[in-house]
Amino acid sequence: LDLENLLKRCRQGDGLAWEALVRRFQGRVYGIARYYLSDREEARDVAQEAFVRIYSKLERFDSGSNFTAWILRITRNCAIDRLRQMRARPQIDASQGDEYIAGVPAPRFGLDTAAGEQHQLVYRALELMSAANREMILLKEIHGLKQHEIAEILSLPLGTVKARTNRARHELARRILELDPTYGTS
Amino acid sequence: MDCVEFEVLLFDELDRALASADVERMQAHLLACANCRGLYSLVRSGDQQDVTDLPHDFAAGVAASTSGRPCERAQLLLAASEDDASDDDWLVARHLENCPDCSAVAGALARLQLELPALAEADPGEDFVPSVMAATFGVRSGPAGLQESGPRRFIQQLIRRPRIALEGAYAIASSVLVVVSLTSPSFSELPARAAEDTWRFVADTAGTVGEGISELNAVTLTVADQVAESASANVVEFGANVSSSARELTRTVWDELVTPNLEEVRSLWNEKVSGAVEPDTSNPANR
Repeated sequence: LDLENLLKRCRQGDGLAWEALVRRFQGRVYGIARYYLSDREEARDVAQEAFVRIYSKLERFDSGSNFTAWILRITRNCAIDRLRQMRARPQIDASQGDEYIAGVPAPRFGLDTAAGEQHQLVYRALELMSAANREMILLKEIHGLKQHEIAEILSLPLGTVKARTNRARHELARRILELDPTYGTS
Repeated sequence: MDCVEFEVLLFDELDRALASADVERMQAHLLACANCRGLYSLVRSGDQQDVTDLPHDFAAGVAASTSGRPCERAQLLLAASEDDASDDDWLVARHLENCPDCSAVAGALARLQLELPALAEADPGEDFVPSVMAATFGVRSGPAGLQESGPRRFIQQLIRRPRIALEGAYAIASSVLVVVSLTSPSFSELPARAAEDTWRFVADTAGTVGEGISELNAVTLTVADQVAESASANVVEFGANVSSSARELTRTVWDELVTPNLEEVRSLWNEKVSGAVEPDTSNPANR
């Protein structure tokens, strides 16, 4: 079933279609949540909350738009809401609140999985990057959004997004070569 | 052509800046002069020397001392998005042939482009989908099937509110306060006391209004009498008429407007309080 028909059946209240949609996008939504929240349970809660919002707003989704960009924006907003709440509850994890103030926290979502170990070097390089550039890598390179979609999500001018994505790629390449000068030669 | 003239024209010939007649004269001199042939051969070999004899970083050194190192610009062009394809690609390619640092960056970027999309997804666990299905049950009002409507949906949404615990505590505290207040004697007697106080206020106000009208009547009569005493006969008659009219008007207002309304107010009040309190008939304003 293609995405358009899946969404149509979800809007009609088909529970099976909704379950299929959740299964198709759960990894991506949870991946975004893990990017912003180092705690796995918090990330799961945020991912679940994101799906609740997605479900409640399905009627409003424009079929001509990029569904991935839409769910990424919702998940990112959920994660930011959670980080704000955690700032208001500093006894739970004050460090994440501080990270939120400074920008987007460092990604750690892949470090506890077998797949993550394969990409250990990339994760370490991402952690060394500035928060703004790292988020550009997340949206442009990891999730493959278009620059105008990123501009819409981050409320930035398109020119700023273009310049920042180029700088982000350059920074990531330099960081990863600092860690392993042979990266990319084989 | 002698040797001195040959040496003067030699570099112009190398630059191909000579007329064909001068070139022919130089070639004729070369055939005749062994010294100039040697000089010409030496200069030509220097001009055509292979660039591989130059140091590897010769071009980079020249750039560094003139326009600045080109690596930063080359790397930014390498990192530019495919959406921003540039006409400078061939320049960058030429630069990469001689710059190992930028070549390494290019290699890293190419590998990252393959590797990064694989980081998009993470596994939330097997029980994630059931928990999402449970959480979304009854959320949306649009389609049938998964939806719930009415009070239950309202309660579901209420429970998901982040401050539900705090709001619940407020609601419980308010309920306890209301129940305790309702069962206390002072609260149960409140309606009867409020009715009595309100009636007393209405009666007093009506009395005050009545007294005010009486005073107005007296003032009107006094003015009319004074005018009548100090004026001529015609004016006296006019004043008497005014006085009489003022009396009649005041009486009319009192009898037809104030008194019936006072009774109406009293009867309406009795209906509303339904015997909660008897009006105080000792007050002349209430009669």
